[in-house]
Amino acid sequence: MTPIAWRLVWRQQRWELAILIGGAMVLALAMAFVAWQMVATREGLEACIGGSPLSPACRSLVDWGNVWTALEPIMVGVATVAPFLVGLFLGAPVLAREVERRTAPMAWSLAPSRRRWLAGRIVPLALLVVVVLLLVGWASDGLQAAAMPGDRGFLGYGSRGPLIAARGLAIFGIGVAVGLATGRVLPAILVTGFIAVAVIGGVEYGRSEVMRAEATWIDIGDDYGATSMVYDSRVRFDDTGELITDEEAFERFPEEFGPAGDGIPPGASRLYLTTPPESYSSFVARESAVLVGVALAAGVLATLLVGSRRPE
Amino acid sequence: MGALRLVWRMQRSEIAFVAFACLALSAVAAWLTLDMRSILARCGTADATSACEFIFAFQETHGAAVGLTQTLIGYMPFVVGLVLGVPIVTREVEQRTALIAWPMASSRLRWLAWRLTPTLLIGLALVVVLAIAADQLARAYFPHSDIGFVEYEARGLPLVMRTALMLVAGVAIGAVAGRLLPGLLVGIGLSVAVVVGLAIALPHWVPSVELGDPDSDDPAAYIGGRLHTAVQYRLRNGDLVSADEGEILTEAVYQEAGGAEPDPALLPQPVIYGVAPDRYPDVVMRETAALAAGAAGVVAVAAFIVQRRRPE
Repeated sequence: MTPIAWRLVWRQQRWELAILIGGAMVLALAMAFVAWQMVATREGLEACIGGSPLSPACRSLVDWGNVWTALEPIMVGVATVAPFLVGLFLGAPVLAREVERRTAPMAWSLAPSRRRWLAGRIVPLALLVVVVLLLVGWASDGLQAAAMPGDRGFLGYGSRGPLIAARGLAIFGIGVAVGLATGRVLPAILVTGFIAVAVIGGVEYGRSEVMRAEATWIDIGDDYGATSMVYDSRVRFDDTGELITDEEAFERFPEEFGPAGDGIPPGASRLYLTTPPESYSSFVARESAVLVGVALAAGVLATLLVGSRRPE
Repeated sequence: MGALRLVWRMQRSEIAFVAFACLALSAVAAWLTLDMRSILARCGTADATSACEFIFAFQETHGAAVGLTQTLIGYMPFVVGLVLGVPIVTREVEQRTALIAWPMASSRLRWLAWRLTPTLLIGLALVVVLAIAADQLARAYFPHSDIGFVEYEARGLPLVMRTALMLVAGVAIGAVAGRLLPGLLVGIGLSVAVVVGLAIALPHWVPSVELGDPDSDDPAAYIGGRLHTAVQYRLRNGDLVSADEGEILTEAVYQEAGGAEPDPALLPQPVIYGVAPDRYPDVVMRETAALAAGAAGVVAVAAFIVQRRRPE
């Protein structure tokens, strides 16, 4: 990418870049700061428990702890929405505006080829979208780790890590193709919004179905909090490996389900049908690959459209 | 009729989008309402279900669909307001038709009224239908109690007033920005500010009072029909301390008990402050008056900007 291409991108979308890319960077920095402060405050609070009345320093720590705790879900919520806003408002208008204002025909006649013109418009923006949303995803992951230390498994899925960048890139690609097809800014934004919700919702649905298909019977133990979805549970007899339902267990061992029992027959343990928390990275990688595929497909569609569109 | 036809011709895609979204959500809300009421109609017969008895009558059967529908309805005032409001001035400025339209109108104020009034009427008519459907949905979902402040922003008059405010705010933002996309982005930021501001203001429209124990038999306390504004703890000597301090003192009592159940008389007792469900009409009327005044002020600002700005 030449410096001229970057300068052109800035001059054409100054407002949008300042608000969306600048806003996303501020969000990432703010999340990193809150994560740092959350850890420091928690360490201080641990020394306060048991002290009565509370010292002024402990009262101050409690107040700050409340602030960080209240900010965490708000910031994570904004990070979840960020790929939609960034992808939609940078992708849909970038070409629709050129067509709507009739600057595209002039640019097409001056450029060596329409495809090269398209690449000059899209690639720098796509790079910005990916880099900034990767930062947001990384900061959101750190913030959620600070709020809930330990293995988080599928908790916060879609609100942290590289998936945020993959979603943003997919919506950006869809927006580019729709903007080129409609040739008007506002309809492009509205249609892209609909398609983005459908695509991301469809991918989510597909992922949940795959998670269900790949679920296995596991003894969760103390890792219950790291498990996203428990589809079923059974009682297993450790010596024979026999799996029975709770209803069967209740019929065969009613005394274990009474006030004196512990809800599990002797020599048995409880298993859960769930997707192992360790497979979180695998699902993120697969879903990201699908979303990057969507973005590439949208890019190919845009390339075909730009070649066939009448210059008006 | 002439103004309505002009607005339809100029904002066809935006009106079609908003109408589709509002009417589709209204239809879904009406269908869910009728479905839940048909289940309640069977109460007292052999086909009666557990929904006839439980406060959370439809949580398991309809909870996900109702929750998603109510969430989407909650966004609609901002979507309708910005999609219809922002383009009114920005499109004329961006497409340079303001250069012709403003000198041709007898005054810019009349031009603004000519464009804003029909748009406002169309937007509000659609949202009124949605607000009624959303109100019935909330009542059907909690059939056994006064719903009070449940889904306050996403049904009834508050939904309509938020739409009115955001639509005129969209016009004012568009008049300032003069460009569609920056106007939409600023409008999204303003929407967040309005949501936060109104949420902060909500407990202050009427004075908070000490409410009874949330574990009482009042069903509204369980479903969120009461508006809780503050929690304090009452010590044995009658002194009131903050919630944080009360929880730390409670923790200390449990630690002193060394694993045994502590004497309840030693534990600080929670005291809940808030607004009772029967104050809902008072809160709605006061907030409506404030939002109407705010909308009138924003219209005045928009008119002032349109009078002063250059038509390019």
